[in-house]
Amino acid sequence: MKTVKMLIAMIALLASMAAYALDLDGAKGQGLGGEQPDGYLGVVKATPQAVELVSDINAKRRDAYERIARQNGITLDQVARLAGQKAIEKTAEGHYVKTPGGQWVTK
Amino acid sequence: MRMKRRVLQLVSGVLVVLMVLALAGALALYAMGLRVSGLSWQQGLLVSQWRWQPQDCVQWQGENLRLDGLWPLRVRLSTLQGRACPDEQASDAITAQGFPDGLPWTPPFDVTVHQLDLPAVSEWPLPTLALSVRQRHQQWQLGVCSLQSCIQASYGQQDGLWRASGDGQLGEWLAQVRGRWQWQGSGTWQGTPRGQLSVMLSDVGRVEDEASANVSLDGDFVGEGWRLRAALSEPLPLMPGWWLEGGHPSVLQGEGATLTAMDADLRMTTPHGEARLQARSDARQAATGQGALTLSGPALDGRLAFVWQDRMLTLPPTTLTLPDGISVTLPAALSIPMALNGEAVLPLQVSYQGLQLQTKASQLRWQGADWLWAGALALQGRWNGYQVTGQWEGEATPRWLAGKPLRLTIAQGEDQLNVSLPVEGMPLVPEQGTATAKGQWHGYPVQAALQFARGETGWQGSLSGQSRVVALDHGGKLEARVPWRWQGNALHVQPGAQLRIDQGLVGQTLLRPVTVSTCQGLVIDEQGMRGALQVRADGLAAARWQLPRVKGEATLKGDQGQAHFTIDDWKTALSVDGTLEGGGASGSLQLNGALVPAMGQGLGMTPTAGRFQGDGRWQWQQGVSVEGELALADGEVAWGSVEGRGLDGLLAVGYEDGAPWLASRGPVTVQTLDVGTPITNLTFALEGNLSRWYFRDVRADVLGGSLVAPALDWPSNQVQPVVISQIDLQQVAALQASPTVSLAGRIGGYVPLQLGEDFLVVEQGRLANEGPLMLRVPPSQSVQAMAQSNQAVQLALDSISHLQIPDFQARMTMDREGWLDAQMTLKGVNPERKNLPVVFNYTHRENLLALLRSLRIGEEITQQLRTEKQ
Repeated sequence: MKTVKMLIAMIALLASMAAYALDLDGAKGQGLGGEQPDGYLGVVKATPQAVELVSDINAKRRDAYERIARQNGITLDQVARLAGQKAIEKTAEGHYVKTPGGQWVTK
Repeated sequence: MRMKRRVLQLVSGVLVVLMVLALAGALALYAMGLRVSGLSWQQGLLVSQWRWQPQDCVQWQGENLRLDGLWPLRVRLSTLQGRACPDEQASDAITAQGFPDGLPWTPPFDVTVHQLDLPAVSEWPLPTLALSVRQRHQQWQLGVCSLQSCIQASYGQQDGLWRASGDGQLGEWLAQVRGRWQWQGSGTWQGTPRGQLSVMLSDVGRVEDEASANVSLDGDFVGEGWRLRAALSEPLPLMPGWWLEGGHPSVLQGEGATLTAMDADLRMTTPHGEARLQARSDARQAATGQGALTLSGPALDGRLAFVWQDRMLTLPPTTLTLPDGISVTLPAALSIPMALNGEAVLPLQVSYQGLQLQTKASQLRWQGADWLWAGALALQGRWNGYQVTGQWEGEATPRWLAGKPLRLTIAQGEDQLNVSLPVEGMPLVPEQGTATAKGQWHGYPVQAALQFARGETGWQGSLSGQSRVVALDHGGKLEARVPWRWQGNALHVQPGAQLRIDQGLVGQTLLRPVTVSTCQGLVIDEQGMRGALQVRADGLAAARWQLPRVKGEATLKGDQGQAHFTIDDWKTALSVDGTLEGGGASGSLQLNGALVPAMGQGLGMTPTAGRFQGDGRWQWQQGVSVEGELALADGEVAWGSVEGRGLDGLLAVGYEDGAPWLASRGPVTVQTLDVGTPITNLTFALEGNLSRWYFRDVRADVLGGSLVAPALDWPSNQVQPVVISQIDLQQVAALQASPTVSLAGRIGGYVPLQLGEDFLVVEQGRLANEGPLMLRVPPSQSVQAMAQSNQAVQLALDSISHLQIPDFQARMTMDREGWLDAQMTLKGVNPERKNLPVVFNYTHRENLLALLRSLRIGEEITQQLRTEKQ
């Protein structure tokens, strides 16, 4: 009986995680978002959850870029573009990246 | 003694029986609905208050009922008040009882009521009356008087003779009417009742109108047969613009409720036209006759001829045009029995502004004053551009409706709304109900329920509905809950009404939930909407920016309104007022707040301090346009390590056709701009539209010199010169973290720039000395290390260890890939080496972008993205 209760609790936990836990990897894996040359995430396929997630991550990225730019004596855009190149380089195969021409392609 | 005891026992027994009977009678009256209070004896029985309330409805109530004597019975009441109670059996009861044959036998009595208030007749209030009724030897006398009117009547049961007369003022009985009434009558009320009546209305007219007429009515009756003759001396004013006149005295004759003969010629003049009713019985046979109702005038047209024969009224097919574009058509001949009970087929078509209402299988049955209509109604046509169809099938009586739900379909293009109203058991004039609607309206899917009920002050209810904002790509569920009340030709939206839009997407922008509600209610009437609305919008989110929560209140006053909104996270307040005009709206707005970092989320720079204040005008006419001024004060902005302080300026800003623009009014000033090299007193003029920026007359102080650029456009494919002059090399040398050279003198030149969207090109930049220069390379530890590494280097360092330079030339170019090529030529003498002439050429080539990429910050950022991504 105890095992059954544990099993039910685990299923419920997994179900709730599936419903709410759209994270960066999940969004990229589902083709909802991708990396851009400007250093920020872009929305490939718009859903409310994807836009909310991308907007939130970009706000945090911008804070990080600004802090790094201050520390290194360069501008925010310079840091963001450098970070964008790195992020695109490290994007996993099959995930979306945006070309300098503005097209979304799978890497 | 025994006899006396028996008498006492008999009297006691009678008293006990009487007490028991009195108690039983009291209990019976109580059970029937009589309630009394304040029972006392003051020279007779006195009941302070009483009421008669069968079935829990108070029909009669009175105060101070005094019993002054038993034979004859004398009763006085100070007040007697009657009320109307619903009685579904009333009509049946009258039919069953019929008309009584005289008044019943009663013991002699006197009844006096000092103040009698009778219930209103069809919402027509009656004046307060004083009543006295007296009967002696079955001879009845009645007197009823008000302040300005009095009626007397008498009736003798022995001979059945009755006589009545009265006079008074019409204004006491009919509001807005003046004139005097008199009537008298006499007859017998025993066996077959018969009598004659004569009524004279003198100087009848409306209170606010001088015109008046005399009306005389003379009638007589025998049993159910009756005859009435009516005459008008002058046209009778009925209401403003409405007059009734008779060509000759009208004569009506009938049997009970049946009209058997008529001779009339009446003309009604109205603002819409004239209606003339002519009817005349056949001279040879009174039960046969013919007539017509003729309509003519600007809004009236048509003729309804009719004949009656053998108590059957026949109407031929016809069409009558009525005001407001209504026309009524009788498509087939109609035969109506002229009897108290009967039935008739009643086909009708009614047209109104392109709508046609048609009856099907329509039949009317009546019995006395009661009637029942059964059939179906079909509505179809166009109204205000909408295609409307409707159906209903069922029965109607004066009291209720029964049948299928009423269905209405309103359509236009792809829009279609299906409305349903269940009517089963509903009164003919509905007291309450719930109509439902489902379909699509203006592209919006609609599902709504309108609950309505007649309240004390008018109609009221609630509207609940669901829809979806179709402009949103995803989500946008719309829910409305609106309690309402209709009073005084105005719709009152009650406090608590709420409209909520769930989050949804516009393209790639997320619209967070929006709630509009009212705490104090709204009034909507011909003057527009009045009241206050509370607005709360949870903001917008896009990939690169967010608009925080906006909340505020809008106050509406007809075609005018004002609103105050705040964005707390941005420390910003916005006030807007406006007026509806010509299908659009316009008004003014004021904006003020602080520059906070959150505003820069979607920008390449971060505002860190300062204030802004703006005002302007806005207009909405097929689109929104805004124009105004925005003042910035004490602003501080950062582009990463580049920081600007002391930003002040006045900008003209605007928005039209989806395009924003701005232009500076006077110079924009920045006290300090730290780009690694401090720039001070920067001034420029600015124009832009958020995608192209035009800087004009750029001036700044830098390193003891100055920088001037007549025009800098970004982005641009043009080369734009930047002129620098009087740069103090001593200040340049001071920028070194650990000085290895010391410099003196001033240089200047120009640097042609091309500012691309994401690149910078320097094309043939030139610098030269503006006077003698001086260079010293002190023998520092690092210089000595370099000199010891190579003899040629040592020789060169010795040569330039102290240089007086009369000639300095430098050139530089940088392409869009970031390759910088610089050449520098120094020509001078070394005074410490007997003015040894020195010519020093230096070239340098490096990719600045590659240099940036080589920094370890790239890896550092990548790592931070991993750790700060959530």
